[in-house]
Amino acid sequence: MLHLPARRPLSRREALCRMGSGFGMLSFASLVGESLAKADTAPVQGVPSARIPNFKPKAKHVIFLFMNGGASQIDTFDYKPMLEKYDGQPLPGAIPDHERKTGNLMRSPFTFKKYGKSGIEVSEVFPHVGECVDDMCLIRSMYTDIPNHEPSLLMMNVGHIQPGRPSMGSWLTYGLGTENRNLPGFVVLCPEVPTTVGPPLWNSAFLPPVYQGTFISDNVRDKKFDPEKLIPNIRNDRFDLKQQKSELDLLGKLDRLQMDRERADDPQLDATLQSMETAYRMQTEAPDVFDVRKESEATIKLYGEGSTARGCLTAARLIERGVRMVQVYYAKGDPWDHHFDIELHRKTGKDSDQPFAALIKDLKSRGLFDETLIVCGSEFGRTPVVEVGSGFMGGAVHNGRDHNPHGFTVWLAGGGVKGGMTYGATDDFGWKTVDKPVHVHDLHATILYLMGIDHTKLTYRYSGRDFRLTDVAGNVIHDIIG
Amino acid sequence: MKHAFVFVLAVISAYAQVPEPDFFENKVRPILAENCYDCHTTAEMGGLRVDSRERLLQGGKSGPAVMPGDPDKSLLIQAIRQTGDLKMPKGGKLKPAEIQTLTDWVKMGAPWPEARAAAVQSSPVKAITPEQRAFWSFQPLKDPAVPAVKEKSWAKTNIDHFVLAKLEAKSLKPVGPADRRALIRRVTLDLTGLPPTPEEVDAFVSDKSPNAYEKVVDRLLASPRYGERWGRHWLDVVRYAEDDVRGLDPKDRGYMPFQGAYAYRDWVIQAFNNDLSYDRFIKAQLAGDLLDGQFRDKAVAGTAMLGQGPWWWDQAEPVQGRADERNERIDVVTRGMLGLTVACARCHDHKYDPISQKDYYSLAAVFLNTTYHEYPATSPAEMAVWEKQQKVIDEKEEALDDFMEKQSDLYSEMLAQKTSKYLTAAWQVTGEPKKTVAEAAVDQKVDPEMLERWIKFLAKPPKHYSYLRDWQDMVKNGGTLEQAQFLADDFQNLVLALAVEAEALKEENDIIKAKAGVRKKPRRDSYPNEFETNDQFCPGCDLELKTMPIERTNLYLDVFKADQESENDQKPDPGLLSLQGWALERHFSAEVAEHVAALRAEIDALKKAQVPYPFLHGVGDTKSMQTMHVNVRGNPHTPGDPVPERFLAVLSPPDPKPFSNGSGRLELADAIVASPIAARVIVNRVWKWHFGSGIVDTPDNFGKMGDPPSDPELLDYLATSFVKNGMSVKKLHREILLSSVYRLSTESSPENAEKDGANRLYWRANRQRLDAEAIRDSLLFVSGSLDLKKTGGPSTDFADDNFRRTVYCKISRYRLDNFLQVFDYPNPSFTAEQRFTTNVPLQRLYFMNSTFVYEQAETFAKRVNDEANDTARIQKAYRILFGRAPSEAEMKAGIEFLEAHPEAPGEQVAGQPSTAWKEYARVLLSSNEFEFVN
Repeated sequence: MLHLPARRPLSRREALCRMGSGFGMLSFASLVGESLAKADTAPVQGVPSARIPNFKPKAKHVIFLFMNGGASQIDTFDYKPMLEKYDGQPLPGAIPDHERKTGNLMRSPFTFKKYGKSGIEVSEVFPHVGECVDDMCLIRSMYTDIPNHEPSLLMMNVGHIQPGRPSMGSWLTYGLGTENRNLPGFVVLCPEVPTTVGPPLWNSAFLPPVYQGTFISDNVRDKKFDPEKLIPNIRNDRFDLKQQKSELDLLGKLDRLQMDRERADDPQLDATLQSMETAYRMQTEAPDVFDVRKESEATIKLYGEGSTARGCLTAARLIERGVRMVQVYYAKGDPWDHHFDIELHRKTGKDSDQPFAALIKDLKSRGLFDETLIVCGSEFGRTPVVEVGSGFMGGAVHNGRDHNPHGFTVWLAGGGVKGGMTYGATDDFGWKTVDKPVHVHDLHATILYLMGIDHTKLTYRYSGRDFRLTDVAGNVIHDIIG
Repeated sequence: MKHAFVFVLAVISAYAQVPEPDFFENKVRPILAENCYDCHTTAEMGGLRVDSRERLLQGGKSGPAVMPGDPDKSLLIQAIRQTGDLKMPKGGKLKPAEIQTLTDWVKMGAPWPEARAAAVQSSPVKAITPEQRAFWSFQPLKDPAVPAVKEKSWAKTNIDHFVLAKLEAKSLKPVGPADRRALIRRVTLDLTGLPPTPEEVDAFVSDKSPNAYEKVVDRLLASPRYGERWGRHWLDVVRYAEDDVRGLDPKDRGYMPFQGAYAYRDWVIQAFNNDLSYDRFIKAQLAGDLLDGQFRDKAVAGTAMLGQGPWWWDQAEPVQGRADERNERIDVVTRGMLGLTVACARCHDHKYDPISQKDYYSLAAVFLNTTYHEYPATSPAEMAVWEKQQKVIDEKEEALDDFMEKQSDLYSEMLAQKTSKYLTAAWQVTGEPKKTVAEAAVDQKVDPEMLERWIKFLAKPPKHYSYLRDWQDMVKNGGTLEQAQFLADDFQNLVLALAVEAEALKEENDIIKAKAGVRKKPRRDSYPNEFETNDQFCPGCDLELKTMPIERTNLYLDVFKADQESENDQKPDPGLLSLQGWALERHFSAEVAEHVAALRAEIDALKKAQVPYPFLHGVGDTKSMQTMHVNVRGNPHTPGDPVPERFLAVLSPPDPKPFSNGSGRLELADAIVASPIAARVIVNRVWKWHFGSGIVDTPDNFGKMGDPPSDPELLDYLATSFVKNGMSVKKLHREILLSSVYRLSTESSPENAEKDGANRLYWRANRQRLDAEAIRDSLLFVSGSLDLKKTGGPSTDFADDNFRRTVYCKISRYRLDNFLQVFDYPNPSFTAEQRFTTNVPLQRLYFMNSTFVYEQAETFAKRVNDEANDTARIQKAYRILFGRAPSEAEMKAGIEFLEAHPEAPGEQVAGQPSTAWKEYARVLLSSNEFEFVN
């Protein structure tokens, strides 16, 4: 590498202005050009105001398993015996207006069983996950604001009911940088595009675009799975790496000639060169990490088949290589949205159960479980009462449930969270949260806390005020932290 | 009776004088708010509002809701007791204690402590303090005297005097001027987004006339390429895009397109090219529809700035959604045009700037009375053509749908008549005879594929009905042919009866829907202003439709409509006898198949031939004007004090007059362009787009939390000069571009860097990376592929063979093109004050591996291939790309690379560039010198 003339120290202001505001960029700048191997988290250099992490992190990575559409808490993780007793009877108290009409209470068609030492009940939808319950913390008192998919998906992902705020993964990479600059810091996996709402769920909004989630559409129906097709321009069809290297050598030579000639002391110019070298290495690293076929047969078997299995395994591989956050969506649209027939949870559950459990087990065997926080949930839960008035003729199968923002379950595992515990509770029918309510903002605050971030301090000045993931709310749930 | 009335009034006023505010605020209002406000405030379901006493007494369609003092006669109490036909709240019942509270309250005469309520609800407007008013950006424009400087020869223009005075005060010395090659490249890319041609460079370098540079500036300002570049800057401010995210899109796309969005983009480009004065430019965008005759026609396209903004459609509960839309308009207008973050005052007074919540809602009032409106974009003749074409397309598509539906119905009817035969055949397969499907199909003269479906259907474990149990038992117990035929006939009768019953029910339900005004088929395209009530949000959702008993319904659906156990919950698989797609079409006779194919071909051809979308997505005033109320804590469900339409208090004289003309948009526009801050904001934007940094480096925040101006006198000088020059943006450019400060080189100076590392005082030029559009356009330009003829009109996709300028490519809020994303294009849902410049490996991958770059490199290599030898080719390449000759070292590096990669024997095609040349060309296109402007 050419020796560049000594430079004046870069003022913070200029650095931010030049390189895209945010101290994450500085840590990135200091990392560009590191070896292909996983580099340690870069310290934040020369930025006095940045004290991220605010305290010792319990977790370094987040994997968010998203059962988009709205998994039913009362048919999975929130057992309600009273629902059986009062099956067919009206729900006591008023039901606020819904998108659709709802009828009387409906028992869960699924049987529940106690698992593990903790004896927490999990339904037959999640038998494998049930086996892991001693590693999990079930928050049974989640609530959110709006019973529609779009606003609630946004709330769960960006902390606000309308598009235009940075997603949680963007905030995390903005605050913490990433550990491997050969890969994007925040990766979003879904077998098809789009999920409902789509890109605004992983957008960096007003944060610099570098913090945006990289969406990878891993289409399971495409039998010719090609990991090289996942990242745009990751592959060169015409030239091999050797030829490319000689091109890059020439480019380096010409760029340096220019810098010399202009006596340019501009970090921008230097950075593109280094970025080019990172890109060069990414060509081999990125397809490799997405190629789950490289895992052992035993591991592949552990996860089972299907896109969720592939997503979960890819997530483990990405985390292993230092990616900050991975989000795994079940499928496009709202696949858990079972208005007509809650029995369909069998199908979505079957696709998810084994991979979710496998992820816990696999991260343990890779020694990554303690530093990786797994979060699993939906944008909201479902009503304990049956939905009527929907379906194809204004009344079809009377066996489905409507959206329920008032009470649902999210579970966490690893990353410093206590295992084998439940936190909070809904009422006797699983309708509304009654004990230790946890708003989505509180969940976000807790996730940030586990990552070593005080959610009130991770801010970004935009449009004249400081924004943060939790808006003006959010309380860390200390009781679930080990 | 008259006496009784007087008596009641007396009681009311007695209570009104001695209200029970705590009882009302703590007990009564919460019940109303929790249970009734959703439908009975702004939504006014049934014509009733329950958020004021007045409206409760006035009541809704069914009459007064409250008879003060008489709960039993009060509809409100009857409804919540649920003793009569009217049962409220919908879908539930209040707790007995709550019913009692409301009953007691009505008995008390329904006291409503108005004065107290208002005080509780809206925070009092704090008077703007003299210190706040004295904040620099609210001041009238000063016309500062041009300061004296020591280095008089350097300071060519007034701007230079201001800049140099500041530099000299800090003992900084401007670096030398940029050389002519660098300067023409800079100014050409700056004004047009394209590099200069080698001829233009040479002409400028050899032009010895004193006004050589001036001529270049004037030539560029007159070029149509100028509007394509500078119009694009403005499109960032107004968050231009051509669609909205919409999860409930009736066509399942996930977004709603604005088909004619490009008309606004083209209007903006034209406005810049024509140097439309900034005040008119702003007025057109806020209120083009309200201008007088001759201006109106040209200006109405500007209103798409508001009309094409993000709409939430049916994405949110209507009251909230509409409030969020108003918030969005306030945000883009105030940040974009006034440099003030007024949207911060939505829930409370602004924390830093003297902007009250009342100010916010006074602007919200303007947008409350403004609605989406489509205007013709072209001649009536062309519009008529489009509409006629669209009508034909709609008709043909509907005809095709109907035809297919009819075919499907006919077929399922026919199949239903053969139910018995299919069951018998199925028995032959699954029962005793153990025939193959093919044999059984031949035996019973049925279709083997359909028979397979029946066999699967009959074997399904009964879940939603018990009708198949007998059949399944019979098969399991080895039933006889006779038994099978008996049950088969029985089942056929059931299936046919279901079909008849369903048809009758459908007719009944259609009548119910028609009476309620609900369309039989949902409309395919709605307008954003059509989601004001819950009923528009979900049409017909509240209707009680008739159904068959549940088991019969389920069997009917399974057989005729949709598989009830389908794993595809979004769009269930078709029912047993309901054939769709290829399953249906394979049964078509040659004639029917031909008919369908012809219809499809016709529709495709019609779509291709359709003229471009002839409507503008603008705004207009609502038909009737509504009163805006402060939303307490920003919640649109808790209206507080009414507010008039008016401008921000801090920018108005004391006691500002409310707007009086319709929505007040035109008055708002007048007030904006007349305010000094607006002039400061636009000149600062233009400055920042030229220099890379602003005098105020937060162009959309001129408030207390924004960046203070690095040179307030210069800013005011520019703004004053701008106003004097009739708000001509081109004159502003000219003044800036002809200054010495614009012509500085990018070289550094250790002494200056020590004192002003960020170059806030402009002692040198900032090296800037090309933005996304300039990168793509420059690649096309140097290769010679750029198509400068196809300008304007419908937007095109980012395809490798799309050679139009990037400004004419599609911009989606739903899914932004990957290229734009990678090169820091801003989020098109929000006004953007600047482009970030990031440096991520994905950008390098684009240069390394994208087919687009490779193809442009190849075309570029062809462009220089005619030269005699590699040396000459390299020289030509450098001239085209960088406007200069290569250095010796550069030439050597190039030659060495080409020699080191000889073409494989037999690969070289005569007259075509070698592979190494294509690679070499790509290296040059990937270089910093190409991507950055000095």
